[in-house]
Formats: sequence, structure tokens, C-alpha cells
Amino acid sequence: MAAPFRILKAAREWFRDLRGKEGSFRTDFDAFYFCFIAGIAANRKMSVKNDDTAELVDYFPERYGPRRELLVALFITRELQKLGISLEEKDAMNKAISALVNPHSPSFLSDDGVREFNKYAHGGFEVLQEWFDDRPRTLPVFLRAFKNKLDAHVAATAAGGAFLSG
Amino acid sequence: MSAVLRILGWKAVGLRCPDHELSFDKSSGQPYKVTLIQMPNGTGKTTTLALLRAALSGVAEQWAPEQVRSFQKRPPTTDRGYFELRLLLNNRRVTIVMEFDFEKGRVVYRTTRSPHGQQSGYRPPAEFRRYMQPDFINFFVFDGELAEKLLDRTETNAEVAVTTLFQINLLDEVKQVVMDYWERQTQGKPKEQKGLTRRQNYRDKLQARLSYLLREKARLERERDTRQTELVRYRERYERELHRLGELDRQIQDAESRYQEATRRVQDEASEILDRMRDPHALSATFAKEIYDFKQGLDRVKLPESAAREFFEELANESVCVCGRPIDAEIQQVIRERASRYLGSDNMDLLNRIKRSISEAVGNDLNLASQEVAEMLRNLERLMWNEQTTLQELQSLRVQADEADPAVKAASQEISRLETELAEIEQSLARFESDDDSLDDDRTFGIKVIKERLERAEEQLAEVHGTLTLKRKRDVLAEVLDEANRRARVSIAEELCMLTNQRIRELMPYNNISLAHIDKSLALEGQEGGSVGETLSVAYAFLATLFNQSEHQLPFVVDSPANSIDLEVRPKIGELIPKLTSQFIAFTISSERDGFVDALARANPTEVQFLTLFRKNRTSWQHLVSESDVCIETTDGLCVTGKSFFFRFQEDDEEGN
Repeated sequence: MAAPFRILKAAREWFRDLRGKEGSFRTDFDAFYFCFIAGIAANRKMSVKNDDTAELVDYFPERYGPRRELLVALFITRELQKLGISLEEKDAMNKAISALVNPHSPSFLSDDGVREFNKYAHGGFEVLQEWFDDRPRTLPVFLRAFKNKLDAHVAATAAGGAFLSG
Repeated sequence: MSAVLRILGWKAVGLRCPDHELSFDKSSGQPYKVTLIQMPNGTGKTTTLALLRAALSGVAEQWAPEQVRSFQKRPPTTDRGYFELRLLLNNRRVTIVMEFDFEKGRVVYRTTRSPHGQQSGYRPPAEFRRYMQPDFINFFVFDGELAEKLLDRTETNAEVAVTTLFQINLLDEVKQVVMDYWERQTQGKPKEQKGLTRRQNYRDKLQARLSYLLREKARLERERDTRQTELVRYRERYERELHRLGELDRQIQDAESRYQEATRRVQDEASEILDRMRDPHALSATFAKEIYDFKQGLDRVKLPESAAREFFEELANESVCVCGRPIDAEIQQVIRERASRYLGSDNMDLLNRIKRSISEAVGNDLNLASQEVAEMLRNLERLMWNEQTTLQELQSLRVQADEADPAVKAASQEISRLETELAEIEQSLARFESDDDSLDDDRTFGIKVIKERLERAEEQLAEVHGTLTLKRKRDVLAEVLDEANRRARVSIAEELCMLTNQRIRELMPYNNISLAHIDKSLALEGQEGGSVGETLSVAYAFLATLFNQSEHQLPFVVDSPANSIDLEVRPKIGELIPKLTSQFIAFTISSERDGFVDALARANPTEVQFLTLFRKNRTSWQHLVSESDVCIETTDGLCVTGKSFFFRFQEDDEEGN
């Protein structure tokens, strides 16, 4: 079995009011996704103990299936930046990408790739707690607030010049 | 072996009810199908039912002296009491006698049955013991409210009846034996090992914590169910009261539907936005630009290349290059080393796939998707504003309604109170589902977390004891028993549900109601549409399915079967009951006759026995007895047999029981 995605138990708890309600999060992967995006936006990775996490699936489930290539692309982009590899360095890119992906894995990620991917989600949960004073209670309010926080963070980081590297 | 239990009669002397002897058997030796015992309030119905249950179950041997003395006649005429129950068990007569010694506060049983003759003690035939458990008897000797309770989701009667009848609790008992065995094995081990006591104490502490959490959770769930039932009742009351306000009610209904529609539109829009946001490039134009740049970067450096790593690895194995030059060992080494710079063909496919997806998703306009999301969010904001406005309108109309009618206000306040309490209970219940493993045991409420800690503590303890293997066997056995328990409950419930529905279809072919499933209580399909009569019929059909099967047939002894049922529902239940069981004994009062007894007698004209039992020295009742009535007189009671007197008899007042 390929390495599974893992969500912080505390993150699952934090999102509990959005889980299972009509029109809200269909699976815990939605909570994982918003954590991941926050981690990517803030460029924050965090290692945690396995005991503090709950196992999800080893593939991109349901509505994420058709978007998996884009999510892997976003993840690789950010990893290349972290490794200080520019998009001109062919050999270094080749090597880094080879280490992160596995075409035979259901997630397209190698075990190392999944591990690093999870770290963004763990770091992202910390970011969410900084962005929000309280845990979300309803989906409409959360989505609006998340987008506002994300945009503000992206704008601030771009102004500081640290968000993107080419 | 099948078990058929019939009640032939009983006799009571020196007890709180009037002395009496009742016989339900016809000349054939078989009892009447239906016996109606009319007893005015204060005649000792409750006492008689308690005696009947005690005689059937044998529990009186364990009664405390005060409990025994509570059955003594008032004022006392003797320090002895006597109750005799005559049964027909698989066509064999069995008599159970309870002898009360009020001075000593003790009850002694005697049992008479062939071929053993009279024996001291409570000794029914072994094959009937399972039907004569105290908890179980309450399901065939019951008061009229039981049927309603079976349908009440705050009660657990249906589950108890099924569990007891099919002896599913034996599986729990077996599990307890396994647990006790393991406990004994570990307790007997030497204790000199380091930390043993500490580990045992820790395990015990976790067990106590888990039991506390499970108890607390069950208590809160019961409270929640009770509050929910109350809430439904108050909402219905609120609607009824509101209805009386005419125009204002119509305005509230309109506002309510506008608010619901507004809420639905907010939810739909949020749901669509959520789905759109699952595209990272739609969440932020920056993400779109990043993945687009990544794709461009790959194109620029020509990744993936047209040649895959496998081509060079194969080439290194050749002696001649594709260009015709020879490949020696040194060149082979160089080719192999450089081959690692190339992606494998699978990785090439994947990179191409990623590039294609980026092109399709982002296209030429990096901002398009995120602009769409931004527009959707602006629309969501408008819809939320509209939802808020409609809510305010609704609340304002409700305040008007509260002010217009105190009954509306009272119901409204109760609804608010219950909603607040329910929210608090739900919040407390949510703690038990928590995964948070960071706090110490006393502050951890997650049941799963405490179970895991207990599991680890038991493993550690078993290691010290050297009983790890035994513990694992215990766990496997416990798991098997739990699974067997679960499966037994599910399959029995399904089977009973099917049989009950079959019975309902046979008995009430024009009814549109059926049993959906059996859990703690009975859940009805289309319950909202069912009348009280229909739903009670389902409860009775369920009891009949339980107690009248090929392997066992038990009587129904019911106290006040129609007392809690509205007049218009009574005929339905009256017609139904005789069809459900082969012996039905009911204690009634005169006010129950209307609707119920007529229908019952009509449905079963030749098989109904009418008895009227009352205390002597109530002249207004005694004067009703004519010479043509069959009347048995005791020191303080009169028992009149016959339909005519049964219907003439009228209670003039009520005494407490």
C-alpha cells in the first residue's frame, strides 16, 4: 500500500462543524485540503508525530480525483522553491521531481512525496489557527473568511517579494 | 420444543385485594380466548398484577420483609396471605402457590405439577424458565402504556424484549466469564515484578474512566432524546397556537418559507463555491500563475525529454552505439551514470499528463478561474444578506405573535429553552468523539482515546504478568462474541420486522403503516402520517409476533388496555387484540367499556368471558346484583360472572389504588 495522506487529529476536530452537514465537507479530505492550501500559501511545513494524526486515504478521493495533477503540480512547484531549484535547472528538476512522484502510486506521489505533502497540511493547520480566532461553524462563513485571509496573505507576501520564485 | 403457556385462574386470600378466586377455563379444560376482569379503581388491580408477576417469576422469595408486608390486607385480618396461580404449561397443569407470612415478612413458594406432585419452592418446568424471567414477564403482563412506550425512542423496551426473549444477553454473560477468567489468571501471578502494582492501578483507573465516560454519554443521549421529544411536542403546540392567530399565522408561514428558500440558496451557492475552490488555481490567481510557470519551465528545459531513461540503460548493454561506434566498458559506465538524469518513461507520461492538465485548467487567462470564484463569493455575500433579512422579518413576526397570545409566547419560550439545552447537550456529547490525545486521563473525554490507552495499559500489564498470549486470546474471543452479539441483534431485528409487517398486512390490509426497523424502540415507516390507532396496532402486532410463534405461545395480561387510548381509536384496538394472541386477559374499569369492549366482543362473540370483581359493603354496587347473576361471595369481595352485569356495572367514584 502506498503511503496515505494524514490529517492532524486536532485539525479534524477543528473542522468538525463543517463535516457531514448537507452541502458541507463530504469527507475529511476537504479539511485536509484547506490545511494543505494554507500551508502552501504560507510556505509552512511541519513534522508531527504519527500518533497526533489520523490516516486518510492513499489517493485523491471523490471530487479531488480529477484535480490531482494540479495539486501535485502546485506541490512540486513549492518543493522546488524550497529546495532552491529554479525552473532553468533541468538536471536538478529532473532529480527532485523523480524523488517526489511515483506514477504507479494512486496519488502519483512517492512515499517521500506524500510525507512532504502531509507536512504542508500540518503546517497549514497552524496557519489556519493564526488566521481564525475560532473554529468554523458554517460553510458559507468559512469559505468567505478563508478566501479573504488567503488573498490578504498572498498580497502581503507578494509585496514582501517572498511568495514566488521563478 | 414448543412452549405454550396458558393461565387457568388464580386465588387470593388475606391480601390487599378482596379475597377472590377466578377461573378462566371452560368445560373443555382450555381457557377462554378473551377474559375481561372489570375491577373498579381501589379494588387492587395493581396488587393482583404484582402477585401474578411474582407467582410467575418466583421473585418474592427475595423480597424484603417490608415489601412482603405491603401485600397484607388493610386493616389486617390475619398474619397469613395466600396466592395460588393455576397454569396450563404444554397442556399440563402446574400450580404455583405463594404463602405469605406477614409476621416474619417472608414468602414461601410451593409448586405442584405432574409427575412430581407438590414440591416446596418455585419449580416451574425447565423449558418455561426463559419465559418466566422477571424482566421478561413485564412484556406479557403489562399495563396499557407499554404499547406506546415501545414506540417512544427515549425508551428501550423493544430492545429489552428482543434481547431477553432470544437470550442475546447470554453472549454478554459469556464475554464476562472470559473477562473474569483473565482477571483471575492475572491476579494470581506473583507481584514482585517492578511496577506491577503501579500498572495495575493505572489499568484500573483507565477502566473506571472508560466506564464513567460510557455512562455519562448514555445519560446525555437519554437526556437529548427526551429533550428532542419535548421539542417536537412544543413545536407542534406552537404551530397549533399560531394557527389560531389567522392572518399573522399566514404571514409567519410566508416569512418562514422565504427564510427557508433563502437558506437553501445560501447552502447551494456555498456548496458550488466549495467545489470550485477544490481547484487550486481557482482559489488564487497566484497559484494559477505558479503552476503555469512550472509548466512553462518544463517546456523551456524540454522536460520531459523525448528519450526516456530506459533507452540509455538498454544502450549501455549494447556493444555498438546507434551512431556505429563501439561501446567499451568505460563508455558503458558513463552512459549508465548519465541515464539517471533522464526520467523513466512512466514519469515522462506523468509529467506530460500534468502539463496537459495545467494547460486545460489554466488556459491562457491566469485570472479567469479566480475571478469566477470572487464573483461567486460576492453573490454568496448577497444571498447571505438576504437570508439575514428574511430571518429578521420572521423573528419580528414571531415577536408579534408572542405578544399577541400568551400561549404562543409560552410555547415559544419552551422551544428556545429546549433548543439551548439541546445545543449544550450536543456540545457535551461531542467531547466523547474527540481524538485529542494530548491531555491527561482525567481531562480526556474522547472514548476512543481512552480505549486505546486502556488497550496499551493492558498490553503492558499482560507483559509483566507473562500473560500476553492469553490476553490476545481473550481479545479475539471478546471480539468474536461482540460480533456475534451484533449480528444476532441485527438479524433477529430484521426477521422480527419482516414477520411483524407480514402480520400487519394480514390483520390490517388497508393500513398504510409498517415497521421500518427495530432498534431500542420500534421505528415506523411513515410514522408522521400514522394515526394513534395505527401506530398502537403496530406495537401490538410486534408484541404478538414476539410472543406467539410456533416455538412459544404466551398470553397477554394487560392492565387498562384502553385507558390511555382516545375514544375513536379504541374500536380499532379492540378488534385487533383477540386476533393477536390465543389468550388475552384484561383488567378494565367501566369507563373503558365504551368503544373498546364492544369492539372486542364483536370481533370474538363466543370466546369472551366477562367477570366483575369489587369490594363488599359498597351498597351502590351490591344493589346492582340481581338473583339471575352468577355471583361468588367471599369475606370482603364479590365476583359476578356474565356480560349483562358487566355492562350494568358503573363506578360511582374512585379510590386510590
